[in-house]
Amino acid sequence: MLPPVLVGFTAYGIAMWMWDASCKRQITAAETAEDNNNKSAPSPASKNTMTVRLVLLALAFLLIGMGILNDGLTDILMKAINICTECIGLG
Amino acid sequence: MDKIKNVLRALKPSRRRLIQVYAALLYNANLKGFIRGEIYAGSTKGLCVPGLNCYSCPGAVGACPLGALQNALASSDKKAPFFILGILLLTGLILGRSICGFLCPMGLLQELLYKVPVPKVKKSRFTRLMSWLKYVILLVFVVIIPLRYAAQSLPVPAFCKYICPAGTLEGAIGLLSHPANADKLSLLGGLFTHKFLILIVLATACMFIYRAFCRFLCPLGAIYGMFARVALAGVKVDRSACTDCGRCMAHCKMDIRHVGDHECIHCGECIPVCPEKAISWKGGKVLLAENETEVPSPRHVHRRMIAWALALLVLGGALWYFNRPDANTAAASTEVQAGETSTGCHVGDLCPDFTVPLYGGGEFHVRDQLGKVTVLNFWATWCAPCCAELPCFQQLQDACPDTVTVIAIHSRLVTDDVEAYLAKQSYTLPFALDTDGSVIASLGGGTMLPMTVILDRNGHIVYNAAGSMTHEKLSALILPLIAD
Repeated sequence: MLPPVLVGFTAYGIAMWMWDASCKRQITAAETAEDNNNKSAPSPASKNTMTVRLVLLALAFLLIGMGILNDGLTDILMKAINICTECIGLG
Repeated sequence: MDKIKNVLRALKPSRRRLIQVYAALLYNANLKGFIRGEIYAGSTKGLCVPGLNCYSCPGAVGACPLGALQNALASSDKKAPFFILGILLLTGLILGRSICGFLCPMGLLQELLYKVPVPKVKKSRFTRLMSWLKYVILLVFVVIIPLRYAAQSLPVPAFCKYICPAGTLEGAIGLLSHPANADKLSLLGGLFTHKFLILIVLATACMFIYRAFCRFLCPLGAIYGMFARVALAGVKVDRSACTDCGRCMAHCKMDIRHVGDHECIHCGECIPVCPEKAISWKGGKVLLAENETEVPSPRHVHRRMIAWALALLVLGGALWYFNRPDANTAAASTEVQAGETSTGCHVGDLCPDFTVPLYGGGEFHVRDQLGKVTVLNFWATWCAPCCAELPCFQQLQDACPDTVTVIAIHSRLVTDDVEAYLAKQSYTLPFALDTDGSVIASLGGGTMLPMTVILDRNGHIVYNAAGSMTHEKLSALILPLIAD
């Protein structure tokens, strides 16, 4: 499990960095564009953000659904209604 | 008169402080738990609250997302942690680090400690560097260590165990401060001393440094910080209006590089500071106010009043629901059962009679063990100290097979395939299942594991306590009984 999680963290970091660079490019492009007549239209950066939000939202619901199916919710409940003495520092 | 007015004005809590207090109360609505010295065990505990609030706190009515994440990762060899990852993704996406600024009870506590009138340490390059420490803690204590031990089927929530001040304050101290848990004081040892010292150091640091734990150590803040760019709630900067004057940065006490980044807790205190009114709330049209500097319109005031009324209704409902007289009746019924059979759960009492089904077939009847010293160990696969102490009981069983009966009884709360777990180990102990939790309840236990009960040859209780057992301690308890 450890390697996939490390890969996931690294991938997340790279994706964020690339996205940041992409947003900056697009913002610069938008700012230097000569035609500023259509100010009410959403910028490419905000479009990007909205797409990422929608993808993440869908992913969150998918994970929650899968978690309910594999009893992940019950596992949290089991842990939360019992006290692991060591976990709260009692020993 | 003006002086009094000024003092009252200074004492008037901000809207953010009211929301923080509201969230802390809502998360810990089981006030009865503080009076009884026991934790809430209802179904709402399956839901993670946004913010750091230990689920072993007597008042907690929801689960801590960080504790749940560590436990899910610690069990990831058996089950993928989809649910908690989904919950973190959803809450992070909607609220981001606004959770730290508005909802986290630990955040509230740190801000109150910062009000203590002592010299303050301002942010600097050093504090900015230190703010990366929480990412290291996230990776090492929340991810790597639980996953590393999961490979050995040993659940170790390392952050909870070694660092979390919320667990020490709300869980350990919250429970131990009640007279009903006085017997648990014997559990305190090196681990508690270590965690208590961390708590004291952090509490002291928070008086001098704004949100010291939140800024430098909190891995939950690190997780929510990853959603800074996409979170729906929080503050935003209108780049076309911003003149980069830096007043917001100078006013902010967090280690931000710019407003709204991963260190920003979206408290909104920079909004009135901005001379260009370039900072406002995201979704201001949907929420109650876009910019704190503007006088709210009557429509906004009306909507704000409705929101507060609804929020108070929810809090009132929660306080009534979790503290209504008919809840948590399990303990009372146990006492009645114990009284009916003239047995008890205290040292010197006759152990209540019970029969439990054994894994692998057959039954274990406690009365059949009269004439031998009997050791009852209550454990669970998801409990790290329980799994760690099993070899002690195996050793005892191997050393005294004729004079001592040892049985490990799994909690009724089964989250893993216990037989599969046992197949991986090489224990020859008998393992049983407390099917409905009645056995541990009849012995005065219930929510605290591990628990060990030792009976003498006549079936009388000579030891009954929750907490980890060591080989030395077990030997010291058993040897006099065998010698009798």
